[in-house]
Amino acid sequence: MSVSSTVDRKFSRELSSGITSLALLAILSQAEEPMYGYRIAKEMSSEDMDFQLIKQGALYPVLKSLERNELLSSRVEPSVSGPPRRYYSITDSGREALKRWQALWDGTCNLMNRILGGDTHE
Amino acid sequence: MNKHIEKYLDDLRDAMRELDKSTIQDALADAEDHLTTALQVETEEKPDTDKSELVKEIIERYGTPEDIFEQYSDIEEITTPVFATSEKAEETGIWGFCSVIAEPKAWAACLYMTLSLATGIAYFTWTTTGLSVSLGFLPLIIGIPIALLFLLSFRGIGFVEGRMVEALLGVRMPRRAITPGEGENWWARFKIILTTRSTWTTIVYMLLLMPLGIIYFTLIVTLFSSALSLIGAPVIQYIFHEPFVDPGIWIPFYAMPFVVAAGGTLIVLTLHLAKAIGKLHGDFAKSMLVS
Repeated sequence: MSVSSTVDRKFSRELSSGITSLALLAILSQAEEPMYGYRIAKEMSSEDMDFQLIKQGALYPVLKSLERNELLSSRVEPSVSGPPRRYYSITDSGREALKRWQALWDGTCNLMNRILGGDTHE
Repeated sequence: MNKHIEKYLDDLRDAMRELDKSTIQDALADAEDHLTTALQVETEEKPDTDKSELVKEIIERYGTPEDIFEQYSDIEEITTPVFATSEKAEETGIWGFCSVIAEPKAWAACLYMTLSLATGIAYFTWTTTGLSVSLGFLPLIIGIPIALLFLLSFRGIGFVEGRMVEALLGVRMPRRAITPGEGENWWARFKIILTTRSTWTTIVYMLLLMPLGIIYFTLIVTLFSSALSLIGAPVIQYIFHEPFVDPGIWIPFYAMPFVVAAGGTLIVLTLHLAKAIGKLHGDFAKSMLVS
């Protein structure tokens, strides 16, 4: 494996680790009903499937840790065919966390855009 | 199960082998659930696409075994079992030795040892009943479904025991229950469960927990009651006017402080013993309950 692909992988993993939690909370707060892992994973992929922020397999440990922190809750339901599915929904403290994280995200975006020279808000 | 998925799970197990056994089991359970669900949903949505192409695409999007290994090892670093966090800076000397009295882990181990009498008897009864009923019915046609139900219940109980071991003894145990052969017909499932090593080690564990539970319970109760009676000796002798040990041993006045101090020391020693046994038992439970 070349050096650049190793550092690229490391960077994209570090970049995505916090964003994933934010994205999961956002998706579940907009969802009308509880969602299971694979549907959430599909929501997180872009339409053309070319750009993938994170590998789908990385979602599950994050879902578990959000649940442990009581930002999400889950229940298992049997499915018509195939294995039973775990359905996740957002909790009240999850919604509050989402608000705080959203503000943090907006601040980060503004700052990063300015640093990277994209656009100037001030 | 689809052979591509099976191959992927084997590769994943291989890539993760240096991680904790319980983490590997959780990661495999997550991957298997995701991949089988994804395949099932995609097959319904695109019935015309070649199935092996679909599987490859799904696996590609799930991530290589190396990706998954990195992700789970990151998460493991930041999540620790409930009481395993009491690893503070080591104090030395007598004060360090006595500080065990403030350690949640030591008290939790005492609680586990006390409870293990009840759980040990319950597991033993259920296991022997299950095994003998299953063996008795085996010549009949209903024998195999009955045996399957009992075997499944043993796995379920094993998972719950694992959660208890993690909560009280601080040893990392699986956080997802897995039932081997899910989605297969019951005969295939029976064979898979029968040939899974952890099914049998779980049964042995459940049988052994009864003698162990009796020993643990007796130790805790004997040591704590001895310690408390030493500490309470002045109260017994000077307030209730009863001899310290029944027929008639009276402790002389000058020896009283030493008797009380001996009681305190016994409590500290008991907590150290409980902590050590808790550690040993946790490792034992892990080797038996995790495949």
